[in-house]
Amino acid sequence: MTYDKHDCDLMCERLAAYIEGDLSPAEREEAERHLAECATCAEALVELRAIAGEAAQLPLLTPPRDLWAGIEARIATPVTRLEGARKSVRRVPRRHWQLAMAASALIAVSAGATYLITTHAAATGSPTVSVASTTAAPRMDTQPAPAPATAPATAPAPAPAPNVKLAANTNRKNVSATRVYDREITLLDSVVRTRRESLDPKTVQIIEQNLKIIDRAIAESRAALAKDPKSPLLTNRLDNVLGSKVELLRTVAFLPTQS
Amino acid sequence: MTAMATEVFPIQLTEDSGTAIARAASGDRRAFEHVYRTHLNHVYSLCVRMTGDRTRAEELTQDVFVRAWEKLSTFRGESAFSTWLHRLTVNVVLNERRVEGRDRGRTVSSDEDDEGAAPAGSSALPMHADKLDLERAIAKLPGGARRVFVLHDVEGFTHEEIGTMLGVTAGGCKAQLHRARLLLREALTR
Repeated sequence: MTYDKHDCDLMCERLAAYIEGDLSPAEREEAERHLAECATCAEALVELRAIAGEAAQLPLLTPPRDLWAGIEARIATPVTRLEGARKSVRRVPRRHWQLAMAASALIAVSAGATYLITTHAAATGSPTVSVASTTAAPRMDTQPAPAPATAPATAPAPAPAPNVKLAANTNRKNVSATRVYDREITLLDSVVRTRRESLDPKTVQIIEQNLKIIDRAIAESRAALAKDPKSPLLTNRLDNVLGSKVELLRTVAFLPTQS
Repeated sequence: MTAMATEVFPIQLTEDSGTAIARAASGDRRAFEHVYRTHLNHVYSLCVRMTGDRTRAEELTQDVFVRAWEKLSTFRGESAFSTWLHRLTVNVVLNERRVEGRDRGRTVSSDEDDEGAAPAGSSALPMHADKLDLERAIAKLPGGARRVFVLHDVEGFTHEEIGTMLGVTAGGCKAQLHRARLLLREALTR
């Protein structure tokens, strides 16, 4: 039997189901008859199977440069000093009430922020936005992320895929998210101010340098956003730098007390 | 693979992986470096093939390990660590693509989003020429077809698993896979 181009096109479409074993017995029998008599389609089958086989055996690739330095910079805590930390361990029990107060304040702040965001998301039907993304800080070249030991236990999951229909809500949502950030930063800032005297002066100096960098980035992002309020890129950037500030303040709030 | 890795980044890979993971989960960065070096090539390869772009793959590989560091305490050992990291890598790559799509103000389901990206095999690779051709051809596939092909034929995920990851039906996944294989066949026999 000879097959024309139309028959072979149909066979080609069926090859996927044939390879997957998805054809009915009758369809399979028909396909096998075609493949036994048509060299072109038989060759296509062999080559498609070969591609799948080759793909499964592709060797692993090696990056052209070591990526560890960049990763380490992002996971490192910039303000923790080992020698200070070791000495301060002895002092912690004597000032445990301070840490307890800081922890209570932070819990209240985080719970309040989460409540605000989730209630807002429910009211507008928009997806929940992250308040203190733990991946925000590492994006900043000059501000590595805090270590996970100080990160919130309930770190937000990756943002869901955006729904185009919700685009109209984006501005309102981001305005609200920014307010929540600002509120949390204000509250954390007050906690940090009360702890300033009890921290290593060198650590405080580094913190202040980092905060200046972040504040400059926040100011630049706000200025850019004022010119282009609907830009998702700028909104995301502002969220990230605000998140970085929250993370840094939160880390500082839990730093060990100076000996 | 390990020989290649140790040649480029000399390090003593003698520590038991389980011990290193446990120590890394408790905050030990040296132990996490060991974990990184053990799994680097797996993660990087998946990122390169999913994106078809080596520069992006380097950035994403870093993102994956930072994310792994942050989430390491949630690893309970119910699956192999390599499986857990593999899933995490896929999630990071797909999530990055969604964020990019959002930033560009368009839907994420576009199949042609990263068509024509720089060939994955554009730099010299120590591998057989046929495989290099296949790498290049994979990199030139349309985004949707490439992702399905890499996840199924290279990484061994099932259609159902890929459907869940990508938000498509198993049938749609099979159609994309067939399309990818046909395009690869065309590219390799040209």
